[in-house]
Amino acid sequence: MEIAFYATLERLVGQRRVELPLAPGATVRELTEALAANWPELGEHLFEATGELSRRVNIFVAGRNVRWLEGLETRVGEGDAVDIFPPVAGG
Amino acid sequence: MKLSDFGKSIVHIDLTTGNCRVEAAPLDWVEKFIGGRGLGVRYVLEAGPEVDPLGPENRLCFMNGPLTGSEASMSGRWACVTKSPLTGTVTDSHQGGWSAARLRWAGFDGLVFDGQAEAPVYAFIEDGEISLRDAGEVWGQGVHATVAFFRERYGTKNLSVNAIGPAGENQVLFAAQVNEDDRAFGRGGTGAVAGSKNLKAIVIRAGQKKSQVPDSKAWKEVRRQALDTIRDEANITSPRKGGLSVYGTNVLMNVTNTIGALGTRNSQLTSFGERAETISGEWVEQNLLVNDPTCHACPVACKKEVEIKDGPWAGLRMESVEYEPAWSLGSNCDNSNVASIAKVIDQCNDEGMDPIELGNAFSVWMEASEKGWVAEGQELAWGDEAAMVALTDAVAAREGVGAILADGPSRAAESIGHPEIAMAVKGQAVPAYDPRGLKGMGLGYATSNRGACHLRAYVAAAELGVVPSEVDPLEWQGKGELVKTFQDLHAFSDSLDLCKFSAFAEGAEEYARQFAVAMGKEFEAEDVMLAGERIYNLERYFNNLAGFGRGSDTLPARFTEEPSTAAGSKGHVSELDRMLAEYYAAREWDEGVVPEAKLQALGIL
Repeated sequence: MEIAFYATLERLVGQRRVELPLAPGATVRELTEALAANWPELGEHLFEATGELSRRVNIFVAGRNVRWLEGLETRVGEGDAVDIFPPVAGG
Repeated sequence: MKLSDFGKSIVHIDLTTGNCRVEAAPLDWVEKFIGGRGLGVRYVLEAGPEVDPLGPENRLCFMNGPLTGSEASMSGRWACVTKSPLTGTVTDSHQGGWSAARLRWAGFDGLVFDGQAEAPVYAFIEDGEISLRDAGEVWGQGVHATVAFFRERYGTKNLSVNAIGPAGENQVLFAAQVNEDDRAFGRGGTGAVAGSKNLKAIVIRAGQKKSQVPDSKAWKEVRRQALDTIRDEANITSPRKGGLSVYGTNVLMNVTNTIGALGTRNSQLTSFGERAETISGEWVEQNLLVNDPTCHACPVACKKEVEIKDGPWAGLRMESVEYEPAWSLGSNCDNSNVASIAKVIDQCNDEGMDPIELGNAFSVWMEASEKGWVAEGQELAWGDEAAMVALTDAVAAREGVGAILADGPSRAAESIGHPEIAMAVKGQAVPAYDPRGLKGMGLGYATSNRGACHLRAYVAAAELGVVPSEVDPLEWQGKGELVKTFQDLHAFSDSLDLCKFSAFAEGAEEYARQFAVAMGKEFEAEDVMLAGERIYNLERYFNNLAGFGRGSDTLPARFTEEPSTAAGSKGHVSELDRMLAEYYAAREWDEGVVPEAKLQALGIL
C-alpha cells in the first residue's frame, strides 16, 4: 500500500511516498501503527497521548478525511489513495 | 504614538481643489466601527452608495486600524475601501508590507480621497505633513519602475511606495494597487478608482515609532500571549515549522487537489490530478525558493521569493507564487508550469492587476474558445502560456481581446452571450476553493459583501481541520451559523487591522485583550463579535442601498447543478439554497436585505 506525505510531514519522513506491506481492507489504525513503527518521530505526530488520532495530522482516504468516515477504523479499499497532511491553510 | 488617539488624524484630500485638511473621525464612528475596514466603509457610505465608482464623487479611503504600526504581531495592515467598479458593491482590500505602519508613524490614521485631480499626482507624506505633487514623470510606468523612481528621489531609508500601474491608469476594472513592489490591495478594482482620480501613488517616509499605552506592562503581556499562540508548534503560523510559514499560502494546493476542491479548466473539473504537484508550495519550496521576506511585525514570513532558473523566464526573481494565482493561472487555465505562473504574477504586480480576476478572465476565454464562441483570431487555448503572458500586457493596456478581458470575466462572458461560464458572484470572480468540495466556502462566496471572496469568511480553516472544530466540508447543515461567525470575526480583525492569517492562531479573546489594553478600555470577546456583526451589516446596508436586494446572494449554476468530478467530493453540488436559509435566519435578514429593526439594534441607524 502506498502512502503520500505532504508539507512538513514530507520533510519529517524524508520522502513524498512510502510503501507499506498492507493489503487492501487494512484499517487506518493498522496503517498508522505501521508508520509509527517505521518512523517513531512521525508516530509522535499521529497520535494524542490518549491513543486517538492527533489534531496535528489529517489523513485522507480516497479524498475523504477519515474524521468524517470511521476514524482509525476506516478501511482502505483497493485503489484508494492515502494522503497524509499536517493542518494546512492559507489565503 | 499614543494608540488610544486612533481616529484623531484622518486626512481629507480633495483632489479636485488640491486642498488637504486633518480631522478627527466622529467618535461614535470609531467606537462602533473600530478602524480599518469598518471605519473605511462608514466613510464611503457617507459619500453615497449610488455614486459612479469611476466618477469624482466616489470616495477612496485608506484606513489604518487602531493596532496598525504597533508592536502587536501581524499589525502591518491597512484597508483600502471604496465603491468597486467591478461589482458596484462596497469593497475593502488589505495590504501587507510597510506602508500602513509608516502612515501611522508619520502621524496619520487614514487618508480619504475625494474628487479628481486635473493631472496625475502622488501624495507625499512625512512628519505629519501631506502634499500633492506632480506625478507626470511616472504616469505610464509600471509599479516596479515607479517604486524605483521614488527610491531614487527620496532614498530607500524608511520609504514605502504604494502605486498603480498602467492597468489602474487605464481603468482595468480589476486593477490593483501595490506597495513594496509586490504586496497588493488586490481585489475589487481599487486601482481603477485611483486611476480615475489621477492618483498615481502614495509615498510615505517615516521611521518606526514606539507605541504609548496606558499600561505598558499589560501591553507587553497581551502581546506575548498572542505571540505565543502564533509561535505554538501546533499552529500553521509557527515560524519555520508551521506549513504557512515554511511553504507560504500555496501549501494548500495539494490538499484541495486531494479532496476534490481544486477547480480545473474553469471549474469544469474539480481536481488537477498529478499535475497539481508542479504548481504546489512544496514544489516551489524545493525548486525555486530563494528568500522568505516578511511584513511589519510578522514572525510568520509567508511571503516566498522565488527565482526562475531556466526556460524563457530564467532569471526572474519575484514574490510570491501564492496559492490563489497558482490556482487561477494554473489548474484553472490548465497550466502546470509554475515558471509561467510566476511570470504572469510578476506582470500583475508590475502592471497593477488582480491575478485572481485575470486568471478567471483567461479561463472564461479558454472555455469559450474551446466551444467555438469566440471570433476567429481571438481564440485562447487551454494552457497556452506564451499567449497568457502576451495577453496580460494587452489587458493592462486595454488592447485587442485584452480590452474585453479588462472588464473582468463576468462582462467578458456576457459579451459573447454566455454569462453562465463566468465563475463569479456579484461580478467578482471566485477564488481557489471549489464550493462543491468545501461547502461552507461556497456560502461564504455567495454572501460576501464584496463579491466572491475567500477572505470574508475563511471557513476553510474549519473545513480543512486547521482550527479546532468538527466540520465536514461536504456537510451543508450548520454552515449558515459557521459562515456568520467567521464573517463577523474577520470583519473585526480587518478593522483592527491585523493580518487575516492571525486567525489561524488567535481568536476573539486575543483580539479583545490587545484592543482593550491598547485603547485603555474594557473590551471582551463578545464585544469583538458584536462589532464584527455591526460592520458586516453596515456593508450589507450599503449594498442594499446600491441596488443589491433579494436574490443577490448566488453562485454560478456550475456549482449548484454540475456535480464534482473528482474523488473526495465526487457527485456533490453546492446546496446553496438550504445553506442560505440557515444563514439568513442566523443573520436575521430578509433574503439578503437588512431589516430596519436590525440596523437600529446594531446602532447603524
